[in-house]
Amino acid sequence: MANLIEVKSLSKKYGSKLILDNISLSFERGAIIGLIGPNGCGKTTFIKILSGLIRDYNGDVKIDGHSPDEYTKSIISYLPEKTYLSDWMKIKDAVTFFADFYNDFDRNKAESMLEQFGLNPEQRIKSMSKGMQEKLQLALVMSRNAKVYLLDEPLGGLDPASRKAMLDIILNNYSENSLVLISTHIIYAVEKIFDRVVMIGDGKILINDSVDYLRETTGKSIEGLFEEVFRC
Amino acid sequence: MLSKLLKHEIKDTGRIMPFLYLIAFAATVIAFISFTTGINWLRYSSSVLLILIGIAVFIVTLVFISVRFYQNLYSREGYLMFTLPVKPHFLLVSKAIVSISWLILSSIVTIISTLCALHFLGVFESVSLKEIRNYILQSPYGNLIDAIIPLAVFSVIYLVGQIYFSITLSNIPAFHSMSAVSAIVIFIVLNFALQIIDSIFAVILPISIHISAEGVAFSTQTMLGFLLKNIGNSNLSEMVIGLGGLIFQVIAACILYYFNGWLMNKKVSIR
Repeated sequence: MANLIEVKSLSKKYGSKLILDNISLSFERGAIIGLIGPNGCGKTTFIKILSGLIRDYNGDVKIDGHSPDEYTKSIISYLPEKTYLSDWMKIKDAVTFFADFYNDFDRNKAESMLEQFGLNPEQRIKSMSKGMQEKLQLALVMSRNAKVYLLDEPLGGLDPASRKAMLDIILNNYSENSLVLISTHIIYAVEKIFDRVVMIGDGKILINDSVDYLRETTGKSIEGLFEEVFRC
Repeated sequence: MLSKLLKHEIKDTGRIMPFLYLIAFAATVIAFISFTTGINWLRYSSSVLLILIGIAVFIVTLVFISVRFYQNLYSREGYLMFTLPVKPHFLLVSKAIVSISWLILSSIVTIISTLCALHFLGVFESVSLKEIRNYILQSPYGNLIDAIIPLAVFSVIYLVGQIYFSITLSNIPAFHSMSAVSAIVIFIVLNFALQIIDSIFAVILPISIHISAEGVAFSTQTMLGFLLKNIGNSNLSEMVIGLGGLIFQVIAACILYYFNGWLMNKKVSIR
């Protein structure tokens, strides 16, 4: 099966600081991939390049055979680490916004997820806590039948109960034809759903293997491995 | 997709703008009531307030569309806008169309407020608006009156182009280390540079309009040549206005919008 994402010799600098150093990767559909590494290692930059938010990079990035453009944006469902909905909107306005712009958006699925999270469609985003806003954004992003889901720190501001609900939503809503790339540094909560792990450090790929293989060969959990690789 | 962007842009901006017009309307009603009371100090103060509110409507609109362009595209909301499956220049076009429309509407509100205030102040008691219009139409400048509205609309398009370009340029990686103030600095520098070039083109290009007692006609005379020929002539019966500046402005506006779209497509990185 052709790779859904193909990255060759990708480098990105901020000023003189090298954030991604000549990395090459490929991802097939039908997998949940953990992109892990310490803060500032380049995870968010990598995801922003895939999502089309960063355009000035060196190297070759192909998503379903296309460089990041409006086609790739139509097949990527992206959850940034920041809250990005306008404060004045009500939840129902945000749902309408997604339904208008994304042909693959499933309004029924969104409404069901909002109900599961206990979010009232009439509530204004301005009046919601950061955790509630993150739940809303995850519900919107996972209500798309996209080919690629890019989730940047989806568990950041959530309590343990909400984290479990979020993981359930991710597991229940992705299909075998899609690819889920999750960037996180909260590994223990999420490693059980990963099929494969890409560990980034100092802008380089340090580990890129299946979770089963890593557990078998090292005898450690992914978090244990992470602690060993990035020991201070 | 452009129609959807327009729909959401109108919805977003439509929450604020009608309130501004409502304030101007309320100020007009208050000035009218003050006018009918016949109390002079009340009539004068409410009319002056109406003029100030009319001007404020235009300025607030200008600030609002600038802040909105920055917030919606280059702050955290940009994470949503720049990942929509639309060409980035559609984002620019939708915002420009809606902002220009609001600015034109605000200009009309400003003009109407000012005319109402002048009426309440009694300016039109000695000479009516109709008489002023007839006087202008019968003067050598009469033929130019039809050009005022298109020129005013173009000025708004040109101004919005400069503001949007400055904000976009301040968000390319080279300017990331600077604060949002860099957009204001870029705008001031850009506006100053464009005005200088505009003035040079206006005086040296051999295309102009010649205004005399016979009326207005196109001419190939340069404005510089006319001014040099008439140095010291305090009793001018004719005038030459260079059109080079306007031609430059049209070209500059096209370039500003084109490069703005190009920067959004190729260079802008959301922080």
